[in-house]
Amino acid sequence: MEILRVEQLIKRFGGIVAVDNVSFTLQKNEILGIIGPNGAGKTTLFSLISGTEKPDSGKIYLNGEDITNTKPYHRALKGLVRTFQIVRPFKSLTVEQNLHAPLTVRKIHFNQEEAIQLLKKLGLIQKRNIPAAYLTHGEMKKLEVARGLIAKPRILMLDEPFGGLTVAEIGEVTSVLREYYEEGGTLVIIEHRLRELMKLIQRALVMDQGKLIFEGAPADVAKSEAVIKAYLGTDTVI
Amino acid sequence: MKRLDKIFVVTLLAVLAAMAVLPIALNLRFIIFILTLTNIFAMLAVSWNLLSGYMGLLSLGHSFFFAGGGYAAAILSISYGVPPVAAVFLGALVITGLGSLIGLPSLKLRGHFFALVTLIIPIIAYQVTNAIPQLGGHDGIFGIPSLFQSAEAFYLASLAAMAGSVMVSYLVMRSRLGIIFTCIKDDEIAAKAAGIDVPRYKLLGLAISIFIAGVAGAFYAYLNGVISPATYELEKASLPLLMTLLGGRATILGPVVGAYIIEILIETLKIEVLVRARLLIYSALALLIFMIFPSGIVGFLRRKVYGDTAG
Repeated sequence: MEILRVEQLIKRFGGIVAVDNVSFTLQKNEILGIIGPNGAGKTTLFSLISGTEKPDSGKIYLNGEDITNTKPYHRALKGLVRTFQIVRPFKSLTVEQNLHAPLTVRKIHFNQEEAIQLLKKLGLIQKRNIPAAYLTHGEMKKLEVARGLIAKPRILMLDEPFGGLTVAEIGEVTSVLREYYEEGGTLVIIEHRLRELMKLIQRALVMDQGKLIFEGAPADVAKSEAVIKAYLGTDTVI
Repeated sequence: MKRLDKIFVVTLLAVLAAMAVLPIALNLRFIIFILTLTNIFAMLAVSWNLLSGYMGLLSLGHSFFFAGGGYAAAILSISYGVPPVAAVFLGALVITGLGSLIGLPSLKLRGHFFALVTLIIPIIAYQVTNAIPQLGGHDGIFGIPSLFQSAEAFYLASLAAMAGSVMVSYLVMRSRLGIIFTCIKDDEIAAKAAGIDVPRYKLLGLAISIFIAGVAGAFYAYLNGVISPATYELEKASLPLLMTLLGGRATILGPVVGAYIIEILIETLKIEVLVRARLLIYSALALLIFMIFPSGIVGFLRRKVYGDTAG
């Protein structure tokens, strides 16, 4: 069942076309990976979908509803939740309050036991009562994932969730993301750590210079000549 | 409630009771006037703290809301015969409506840009008020009837209003709104991504802040019996900022503590010998205190009592 449809999205910044006529669909309970070299337009695409940026043209549909001109908070309340490449925790709030915030906004009861379990899985339980400002970068990254998951979104869009994490921490994040997926969740992940990403996703999109240059199974990414040329730059395979 | 919190609440109530009883029992008439004035400025500081301390929207133009509340209450009392107590709240509502309308476009701005716009508002209001004869022009509005017959009753009312504003601030920050305001202060983009309608909640925060400032301004007009464009001046705009920074930004009691210290300082420095050097001494002391207590006195004490990680 289709949950998200992106049609011919274009976004220009001055003379640069950051997102160039990108179209794709996302199925419910799917894990989609978006990869590409730096500056390919992945984060801009996320910003367009989440409403942080407005497209110059194109359409975005969530569950068949045109959300192209809706505000970011409206999309979040509809269940389209994102995290950021550069972490954005609510620094004055404690770790637990950071999980409280998205639920408070939605007037959903805060299940403390559920929050504690999530923090345990992500190795943040010891930091539960301290302000997020005191966390390390990796801990902030994990907190963002937890904050995204706690509201049980329809689609969780993660922008480089493994960035700056240790192998053990990546394992913790992967584990909670798998759990969310197994409970029926849908994920879109931008990531540069390809080895870890490819184990998690079912389908991959590859972007280069704003264009979508590949769409298909993770195993086929490395076989695509366009990807090898644009993304890897050599004939090396992943 | 933790034992430490219980002790704190009991102490606070005891201090409030002592403040209500002692100056009147000892018949300290001059002190009563100063304390009334201090309570009014404490209210103004509480209002500033809600918007600028908790929401991170730096207002340099709170004197507009303060003076506006005074003008609205005075006009309602004199021209429309509204009883003074009702005029205090109606006046505050009028300036809340007007201030929100004027402030609405500026809420799209952030950081220094918002601060700059708020700095300009009282300057424009000063010129406009001067030019309108119905507002008394340069001389302002005279003969504002007294809010209460006795200075003691006025003092108790100001104390109750100040305590009420602190309670409003406490309840707001302990509620769902408190978390939303903090999210907006910490990161507007992340707040939007979390589902917060940022402009709507900014407007709500602004309205609550203006209402408290308006009540304070109405009290000020009734206390002095006059309200003039001088109330818009930069000193009045900077007072709540200084008081809150000194007492502790984004703390419930910080603005009140700061207001009491600064008002005592101002009254002390009115001794003739010190009058000429008043601003210098005032600034040097403020600088010194900010260097010792960068998070304000209440912020400093809170860290001492609850530890470094107190939020």
